Amino acid sequence: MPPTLRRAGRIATALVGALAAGALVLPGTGPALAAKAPKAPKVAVTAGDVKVYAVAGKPDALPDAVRTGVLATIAAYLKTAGTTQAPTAADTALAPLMTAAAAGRLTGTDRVTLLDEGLPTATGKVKVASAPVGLTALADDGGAIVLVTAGLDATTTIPTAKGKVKVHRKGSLVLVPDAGTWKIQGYDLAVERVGKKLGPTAGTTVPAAPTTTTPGTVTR
Amino acid sequence: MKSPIVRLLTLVTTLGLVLAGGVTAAWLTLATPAQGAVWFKVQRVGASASFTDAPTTPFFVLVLGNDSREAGGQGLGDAEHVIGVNPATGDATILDVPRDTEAPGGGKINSYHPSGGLPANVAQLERMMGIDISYAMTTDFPGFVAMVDDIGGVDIDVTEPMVDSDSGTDFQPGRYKMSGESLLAYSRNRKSYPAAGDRQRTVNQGTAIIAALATLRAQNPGPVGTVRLIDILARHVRTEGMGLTELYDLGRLALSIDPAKVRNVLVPTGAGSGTNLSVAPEARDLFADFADDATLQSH
Repeated sequence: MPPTLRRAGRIATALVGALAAGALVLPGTGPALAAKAPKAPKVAVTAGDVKVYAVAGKPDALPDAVRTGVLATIAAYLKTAGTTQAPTAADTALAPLMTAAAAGRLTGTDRVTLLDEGLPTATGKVKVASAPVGLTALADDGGAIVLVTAGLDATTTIPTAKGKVKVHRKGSLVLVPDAGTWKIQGYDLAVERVGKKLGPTAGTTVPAAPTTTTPGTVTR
Repeated sequence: MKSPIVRLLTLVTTLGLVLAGGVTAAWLTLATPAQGAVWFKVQRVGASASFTDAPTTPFFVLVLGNDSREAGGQGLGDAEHVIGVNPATGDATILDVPRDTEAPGGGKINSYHPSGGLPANVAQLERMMGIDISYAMTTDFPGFVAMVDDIGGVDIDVTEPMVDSDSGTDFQPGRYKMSGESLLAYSRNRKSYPAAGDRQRTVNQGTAIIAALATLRAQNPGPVGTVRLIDILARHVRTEGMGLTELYDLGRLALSIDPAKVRNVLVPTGAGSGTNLSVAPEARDLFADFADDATLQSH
């Protein structure tokens, strides 16, 4: 082998070794950790029973655009709540889904109900299973849908090194039209997290908000 | 001048029902709402952010009963109650203002509604108390009776005999489910109180508001039920400067308030010019306590 090729081979070997060593030492950059990063699940949300209350008697059915927009927001919320572990990323992902007033409450005591932070890192595919979402809409005297409540009953299953963690989120979301999309304006949610050795913020008991009357329930 | 009976009939009790998320029970009891009957009017009157925009910020509401016997009338504001709500703590305070109280702009406070409507009345109370009132609501005599009846009545405790032919009260101590007519009689009775008279009657109106809240909360409609409620409500309410979403939000908030956390306090008054009552000096501290967070810490 010519000397130049031998030298190149030694350099390549050294580079591979250095990369491998770095991967073991530097947190968050190694191939082992990268393999554990939660993969965003596909969330399918379908409508259950639909009811429209119309002050002026119309419309008598929920327009397709409203149904699609509301379900898309709910799916995006479920995807974000259960799989986005980094606080900044969660806030960034949730901001387009919530009205400004609702997003403002993310920094308060409701955060632990709305988001699943502090859970063990997922080691495999996260699954979200949602029961059909019942929709109840309110139309104003001009026939425009101004508010939709959505009955939520969803379970997120997260495989971790210590076993599966299941997050069951049940209650209602209130959505309103905002800047061309449907955003979460209010919520009445209870969340239960079950798994081995969950941390204090990810345990099965969720701290109650000041206005809560039922443990683990937040009403707005 | 209209008779005292008529003037008192309107009393605010009704409007408290609204704040309470009022019509919660209506959807349970009404198969077909009475089309065309207007229960009350709700108006956004303040320049401050709405409850929807700032859901944790304390805000103030005027609940006013006017003495018009015609639906949609704009009579004397004979029952005036300013309700402060602190959404963050779930506390609320009702300040009961006797109808003869002298307004900052002169004359009795009840005279501002007939001449200038809710905005004029609100402006006087804002000056009196040093607050910014965000919402105001009023009802008239027919609206009061219709709404209380349509929601199935209000459960209320009578704590002492109330027998007065002028107001139509004939109650012995006990618990009642009052119809619209009965609750009006309860709210307008002053002759059972020779010493306190109108002051006690004004306090009783606040008690009726709290009783209405308790009655309606017992229905516990939840978000879906509240949508249905607001649908019925919207068929009977005239709104100005606000939409159904805001009404829904206010209804949900009202239904979340524990009646035990609602204070009912009479504005202290003394003798004023003529038949007017003057705001007593000690009311200044009361108003300051009320204005900062809508609840009372030192009263």
